[in-house]
Amino acid sequence: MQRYLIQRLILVIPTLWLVISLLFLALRALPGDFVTRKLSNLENQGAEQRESEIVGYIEVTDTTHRVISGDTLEKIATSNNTSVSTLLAENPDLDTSGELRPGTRITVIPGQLLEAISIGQSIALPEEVETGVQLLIDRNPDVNFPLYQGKPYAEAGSILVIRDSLTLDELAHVNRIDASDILAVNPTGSASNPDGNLSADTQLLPTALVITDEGDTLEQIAVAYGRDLEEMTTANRGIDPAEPLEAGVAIHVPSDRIVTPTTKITEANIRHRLGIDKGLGTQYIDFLWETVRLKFRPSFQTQEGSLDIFLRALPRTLHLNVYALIVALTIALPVGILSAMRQDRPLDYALRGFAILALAAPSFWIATMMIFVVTPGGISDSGIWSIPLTSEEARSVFTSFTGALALYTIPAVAGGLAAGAGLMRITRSELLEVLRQDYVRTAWSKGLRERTVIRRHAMRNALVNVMSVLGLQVAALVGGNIILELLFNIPGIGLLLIQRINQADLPVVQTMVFFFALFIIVVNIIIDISYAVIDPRIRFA
Amino acid sequence: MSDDRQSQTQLEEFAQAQGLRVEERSFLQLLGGALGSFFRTKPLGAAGLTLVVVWSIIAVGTVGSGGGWLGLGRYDSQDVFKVANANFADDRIANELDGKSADISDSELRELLLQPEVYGDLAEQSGVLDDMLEYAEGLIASGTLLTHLAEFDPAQIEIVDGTINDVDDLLATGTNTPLTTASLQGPSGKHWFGTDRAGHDLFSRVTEGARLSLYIGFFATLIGVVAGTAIGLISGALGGNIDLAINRLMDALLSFPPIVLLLLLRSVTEPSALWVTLALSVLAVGPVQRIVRGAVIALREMPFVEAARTLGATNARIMLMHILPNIVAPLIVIFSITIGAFILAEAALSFLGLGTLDVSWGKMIADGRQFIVQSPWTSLFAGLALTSLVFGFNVLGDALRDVFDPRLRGSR
Repeated sequence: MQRYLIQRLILVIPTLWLVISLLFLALRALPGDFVTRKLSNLENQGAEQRESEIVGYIEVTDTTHRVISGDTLEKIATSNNTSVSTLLAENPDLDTSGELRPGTRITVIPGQLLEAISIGQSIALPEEVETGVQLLIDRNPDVNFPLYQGKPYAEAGSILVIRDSLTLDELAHVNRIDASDILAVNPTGSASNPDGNLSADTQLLPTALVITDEGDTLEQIAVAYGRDLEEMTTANRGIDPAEPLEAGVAIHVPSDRIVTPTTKITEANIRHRLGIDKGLGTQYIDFLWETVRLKFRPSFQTQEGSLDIFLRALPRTLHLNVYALIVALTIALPVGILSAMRQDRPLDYALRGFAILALAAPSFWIATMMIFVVTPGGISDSGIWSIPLTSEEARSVFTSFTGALALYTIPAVAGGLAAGAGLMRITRSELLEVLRQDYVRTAWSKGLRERTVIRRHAMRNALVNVMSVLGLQVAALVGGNIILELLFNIPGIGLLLIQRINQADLPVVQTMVFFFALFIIVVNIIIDISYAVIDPRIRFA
Repeated sequence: MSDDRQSQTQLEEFAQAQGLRVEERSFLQLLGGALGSFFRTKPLGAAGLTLVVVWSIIAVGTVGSGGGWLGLGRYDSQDVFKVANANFADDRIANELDGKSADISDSELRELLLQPEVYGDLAEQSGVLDDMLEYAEGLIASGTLLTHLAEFDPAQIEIVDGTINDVDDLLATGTNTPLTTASLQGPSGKHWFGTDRAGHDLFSRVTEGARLSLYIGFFATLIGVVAGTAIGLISGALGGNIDLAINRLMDALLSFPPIVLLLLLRSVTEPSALWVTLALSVLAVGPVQRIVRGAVIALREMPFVEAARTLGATNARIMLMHILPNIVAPLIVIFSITIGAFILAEAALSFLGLGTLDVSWGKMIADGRQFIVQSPWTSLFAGLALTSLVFGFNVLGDALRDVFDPRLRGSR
């Protein structure tokens, strides 16, 4: 047994190595794409710009804090950069009369330091479609937005202000937090308003964050961007203007006017900063070594850690897939058993016909038609029914179970239907196989009731094989539900993957595909091993 | 030849002695007989075959413009239809157009507009051209280049740097036009499946969509199965380290969820039917290789292979002449099942906007989704067509599996 296990595990190593290599090969075309796209974008803006990068953006993640002995609400709020009032709002059921009981779970939505974001460029969060459009309309009172098919659109030729400064209120709105929360964690002001005195309607100026190359000094950057040195030092307190900086330091460049830097951006510059300027061989070895240590490069697009992005999206994908799997099993097991028990009768034909049809109909079509049937009036103004993760309702997904259940139902049913149909056919054929065995005949001849025969004798043995197939189905399900995430605007791994592929954001794509592949490999090993555990013949073959 | 003749005579003599009758049958007769027994014993599979054949005829019949050379699509799938605008202010022009036709295609409209009397009316009375002019001036003022405006000839108007490059679009954009795009209409005698948002006839687009689905499904499967078979034969025949290496590589390929691998491949290639086909075919290589390799290993030790080897046949000859003919049956089964899966995958890609630029069912479902409340027809009919075709291939595959390879029954 042990020898078999070790054999299996050793075989995984070359497979993993090949997976990583294939990943590297497949994506090798992307970074070039990213660089050319970047350059052509800059060209379209009509200026030779030195690259300014967004360093992170505010993303409100929900986390659960587990109370330990001696915790107070203030302590929790401070350690998570949030306020007591927000905590209370998030946890309406919290008993605040006495001390917090250790072990209580508190939902925490941590705030973010204002300094960590580049205001003005972070307006359009990927999942903020509706809010983004509304904000665009709010920001441009002089522009006429006629409605077409219920959707506002900007007429050709109109000039929209989109990279303008924001007020603190708007910033808070975009990022789904209260302005007071931002004020609470930023008592002394921001990089663009170093004097402090923030209030809800304070204009925050756009601040580009520039990532230094090795040896850059603040003075050089100030010259490159046409800024006063004084401006730069106030925005970047604690950095000596003449001191050469390490590579990768984020420098604030107040950009209340159009940035016209003097250093030209070249392909080489960008490649160097993204770490893709070395030879292919070196890059490959680096990539292998990094992946082995589970270190992933930060995103090209947002400079955020790839692993963080992945982990943030994971729960949503899990919610959807677990729900879909439950739907699939609920369909597959009873229907499969029923179909096998009534083999070759009309009921069997009807159920099998349903299964074949469900296998043929694409899940995205079923979901689309379900939207029409189930929610004829419930579609948002934009015309696309989506899980409103952007609004107040969104938070209810994590606080109210029934709310979440309702929101995920359509995608889960659509995704679970095809998987359920496949499983049903397997359940049926496995059960039929088992029903022909001698020991089942013995059970019948003992005069046992049908229920006992099926449950005690047949089902248990049939389920073993069904479960092993289930593993494969899980892998297929997770892949297939990518399209549903996109359809329903669920910011899970699938949606993120498609977005990042479109942006040619190499590191994030690599990370996600790697974990996908790892997941499938692990599932396969588990199936392999469980086979061997169940059936000794395989082990010794 | 003389041997054949001799054995033929022997056979006849033998049959006569036994009191039997010898019939000669051509290949077509044999095929017909096989088909007949297939239709009798496998009614569901036969239904699938019929569906596939019907869709194939439709796909071939819609090649060409104006409904295709067989006219199966009824209209050209790119034709934009117009209807009289109920909100049009000028009764005279509206009435005049109403009298001519309530629902005309863009080529007819063009002819109509170019008739001096209608055109003159439009220019003098309706203010349509004024609208066009006003709109065009707005475009110039906002920096969008408009050329050939001076002629006032609608057919000549061409906006170089804007979304509008056709006079029909220009007319549709104006607020006060005698005709408007026949968008999102329900099924009617003229448009059996209704129209989509852009005013295209849905029936002609659904029938044309079959072409892309079948084309990509068939060729992707063909390439994938041929490549998978070749690799499977090689790894099964050679064994040893090469087999081990190929198997690891296939394991790695199979470790990517199909849709993820597709997204990756599509993101680095161009949106043409060729690349979508090639990307899809990669997905078939792994599973086919596994099945072929398994079959080769099982067949390798069979007596007839050993006999061939004793006679001094080379490895290549054994593979191609002795083993390959014995694995044709499972290959046919895989082929028909994979086509169905690939047609679904192509639709999914098009749905995501990563497919080709041609008319495709997946893209139609995606288009219809945005107007699912006002008009569910676009999504409904495209989805039904897709489901019926995939259903056809699936049940055909199931039936073929039962006929050719009963051992595989229930494995999917």
